[in-house]
Amino acid sequence: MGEEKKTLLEVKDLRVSFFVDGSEIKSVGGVSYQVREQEIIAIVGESGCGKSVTQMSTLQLIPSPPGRILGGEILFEGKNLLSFKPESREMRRIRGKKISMIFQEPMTSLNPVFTIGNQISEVIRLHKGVNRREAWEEGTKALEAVGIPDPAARMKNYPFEMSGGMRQRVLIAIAVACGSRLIIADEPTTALDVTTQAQVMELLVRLVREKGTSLIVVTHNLGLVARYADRIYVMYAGRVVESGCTKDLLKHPSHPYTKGLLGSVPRLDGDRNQELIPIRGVPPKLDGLTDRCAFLPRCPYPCEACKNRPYPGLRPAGENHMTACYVDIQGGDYDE
Amino acid sequence: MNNYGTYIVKKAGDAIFSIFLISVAVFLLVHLMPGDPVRAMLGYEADEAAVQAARETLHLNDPLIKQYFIWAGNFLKGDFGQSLVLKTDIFQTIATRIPVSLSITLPAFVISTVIGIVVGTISATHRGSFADQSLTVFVTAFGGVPDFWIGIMLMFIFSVKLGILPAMGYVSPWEDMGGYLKHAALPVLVLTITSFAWIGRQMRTCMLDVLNQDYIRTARANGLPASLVHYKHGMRNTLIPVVTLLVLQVRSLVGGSLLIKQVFSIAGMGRLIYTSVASNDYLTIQALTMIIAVFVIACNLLLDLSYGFMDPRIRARGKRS
Repeated sequence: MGEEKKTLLEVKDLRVSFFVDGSEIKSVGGVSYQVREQEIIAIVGESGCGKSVTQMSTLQLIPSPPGRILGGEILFEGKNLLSFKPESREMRRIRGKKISMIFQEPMTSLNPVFTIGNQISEVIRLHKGVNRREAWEEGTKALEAVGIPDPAARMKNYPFEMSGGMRQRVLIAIAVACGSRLIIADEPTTALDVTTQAQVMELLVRLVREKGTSLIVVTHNLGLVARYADRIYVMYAGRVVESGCTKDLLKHPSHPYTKGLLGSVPRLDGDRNQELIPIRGVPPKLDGLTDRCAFLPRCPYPCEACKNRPYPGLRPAGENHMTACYVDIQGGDYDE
Repeated sequence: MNNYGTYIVKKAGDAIFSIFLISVAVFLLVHLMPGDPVRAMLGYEADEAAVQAARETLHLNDPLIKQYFIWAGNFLKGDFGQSLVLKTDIFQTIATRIPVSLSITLPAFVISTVIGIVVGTISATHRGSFADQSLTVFVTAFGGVPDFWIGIMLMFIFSVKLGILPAMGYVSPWEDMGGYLKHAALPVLVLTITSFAWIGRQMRTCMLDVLNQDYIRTARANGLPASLVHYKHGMRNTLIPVVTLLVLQVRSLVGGSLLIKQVFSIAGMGRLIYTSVASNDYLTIQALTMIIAVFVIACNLLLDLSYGFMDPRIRARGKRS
């Protein structure tokens, strides 16, 4: 990996809340991250930690109401995407053309009443301004590129005539068909069979490497992350709690939550008698967050600063490695 | 045979079986009535000889099974017999009433469907907007008000106060189009008001449900403009539930609306049903029930067949999932 690639996407202090029944659910509470060109990054966290909402915000796809982007900047190719209205022409020219998104549910993410060909060529026609016939041909090629056998015949199929893995390939084909510079894959393999998961992930990574596209993978699967990601952002309760290069972060987790995550994953090469250590407690409710560290109630390393001082914010924990914790769980306090 | 073929055959079989069951029930109607149906129709002072003659023409002295087949056979030929009360051919009577009913109910059905779908869609895609809230207010306000009251109020405003439309009566559109439009305006308006809001409400619910689906999110994430997302990807998926709801309403097309007919004094099917029930005219009741039942079942069969055009999954497998 070459150092100092140009930054493609930079998210600064993004805050997103959902307003339901008079209470505010702080789904994303000041998240910052960046993606460089040709980089694969992973955003890791439990369900409900705000990782999907963060990604949906990039394309302004948050259902509103009840969701609202309260602040922050999303800089892509030098423009702040949040300065565009969600249904504006500018925003629509980003979606599917510059930044594509792949979702978790391949079974329901394609419209059941239109053919695959109709849905893929529709997007190609829209973004490339080609005619119906050309779009159909390009669509067929796109299906071929994602390894769908007999693509010409498959173009005429309806989604229900395909398996989940095939449908996810179709969605990947749509995502890469218009030459996006960034692909956001939100739990792209979670809904698939284990054997299919690997195939789909290999395909996605191969395509982005071939095309020099950047990729954000949102996942809770640390095995997936370890294998493909260049860098990792760990999210907890709507905030990034740790970030760093994959190897470094997995080897030397500096936040108690990351350490807990790694401790609760079984290892095939580990000692079979070694007990898994689940993180105790449950994730906090996002409508009652205080300014304290949200992980404190579950943390095995609580210190005085954690109880008395606000959430620490990200601070260096090594080279290109940041953590939001007062305690140095590797040894000694960082605390001033 | 493919699955859609099997599906069609099964649905057609269901329809025929339903019509058979209804015909048995309708046929037995005459025999289940307390007392002598012929006496009930002719009046209790009727001459014994006339009663016997009527029993003969109606084959009431034959065995029940034979009676059924004679009755059903005549029905299939379009021969509903003579009404003993009205002394007229029942087929002729109904044939003059259905066009009257349709000329009021059909325009109302079409107008309320179109307005309902448009308003429902706008209110779903602009949730919480002025249009959406107006629809809610309208539905709540008119949902609880009986149609005859709306009819009387409109009549009061347009006929009595403003004097621009006739209060009652009916002119056939084939005889005098201008007269028809004037006379039909108020009843059509009342029927439209009472049903478009309901259709709009259903459309809104279906559309909101569809707009929450994952494929709508995909369409938006792919950069499709709102018009394509709503009217291509959204509306196409609301077809099945909305068309189903509309077909549930077709009974009112030929069944007519009694209250409207009473308020506006229009002699359509609603009036005919009312008078034949009131005068114990069993033969006309039988004919009306059968015609309405066959019409409703035929519409439902067409609906089942149309599912295949609206949803490729039914076309291929005979079911939605």
